[in-house]
Amino acid sequence: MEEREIVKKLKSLKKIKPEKEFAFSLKKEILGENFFYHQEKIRFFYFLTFSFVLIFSFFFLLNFETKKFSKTEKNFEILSQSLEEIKNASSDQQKAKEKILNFKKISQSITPEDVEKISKDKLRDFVEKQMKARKVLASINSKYLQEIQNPASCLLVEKLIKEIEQNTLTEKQKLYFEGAKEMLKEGNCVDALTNIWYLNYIR
Amino acid sequence: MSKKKKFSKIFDKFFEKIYRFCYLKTDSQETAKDLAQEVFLKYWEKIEEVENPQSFLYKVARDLVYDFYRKSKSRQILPLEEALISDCQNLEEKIIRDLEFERIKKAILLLKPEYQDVLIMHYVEGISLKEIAKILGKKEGTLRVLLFRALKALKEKLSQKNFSV
Repeated sequence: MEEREIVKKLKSLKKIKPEKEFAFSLKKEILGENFFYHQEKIRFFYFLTFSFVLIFSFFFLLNFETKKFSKTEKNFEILSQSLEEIKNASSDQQKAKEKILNFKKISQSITPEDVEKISKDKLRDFVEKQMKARKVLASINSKYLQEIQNPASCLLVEKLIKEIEQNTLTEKQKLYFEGAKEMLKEGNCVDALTNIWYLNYIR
Repeated sequence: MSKKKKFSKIFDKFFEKIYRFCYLKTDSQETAKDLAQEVFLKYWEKIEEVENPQSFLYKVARDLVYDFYRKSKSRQILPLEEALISDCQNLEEKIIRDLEFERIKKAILLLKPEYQDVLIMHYVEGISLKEIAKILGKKEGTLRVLLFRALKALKEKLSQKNFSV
């Protein structure tokens, strides 16, 4: 046998290895309880940190979403309330003017995302209030009508049109609906909203 | 670095090597486990004094193997025939094992302890002659000669006609 071959065979002895479990338990034994404790402690620490981060993130996101949603809901409530106030101020022009300004101010804070989030019931309620306010304003001074036309109203109309498109309408309703779409295209959101409102009363 | 961390690092690096060294010198898994365990217990006790862990571990392992043979006369270097008979008891295991692997393992056991040491340390574990010189407390030149002789002796054992596992 050649020396080179013997050396190769000697190197092959490297595959002799102790059982992993034995090595692990021996190390644990020599290092005492603390070794295991240390490992467990580290594992527990990571677990705790991870859990904390997870729980914190969950509550943070939940809180954030709730707050955001609540803010949207609140703005719509105020907006609806403002329309109610316009309706009630029919006898006092000055007061009605103030309420219209207030309505404009609040409606400017409504974003497309807010409109997307608002429920159908709230939307219906808002539309009804806007129509009532519109009637009051028309009786006081028709120039005020344009004042309650604002970005929020237009966004609402767009949303309503998208929703109504999913429904089956009668021939008469279709006419009003097409009219509302045309008005929206022309930028006349309040009149478009009026047409949409009428859809509830015609068959 | 803390004592535990230092020990853990050295244990991970050398335990397998020390176990293998003991196993090749005793041809018994149980004995190798006991001796390797003893080696690392000693290292744990002296960890703060030890400057060269590798050298310390091999020195202790060598001493323990020597003690083992000294205490247990029956385990003193076995004549070839005895070694063969004892192994025949576990035929199933013998079949599974690589015969050539067993041959070289047995042949090492029949060499002088100092030949075994240099062959295992240098060829199996890949330790440099300079490092082995530190472990065995010999000069590098002397070790070179020892290694040459050890390899020659091993070659002779493996060439013997009646040497088979």
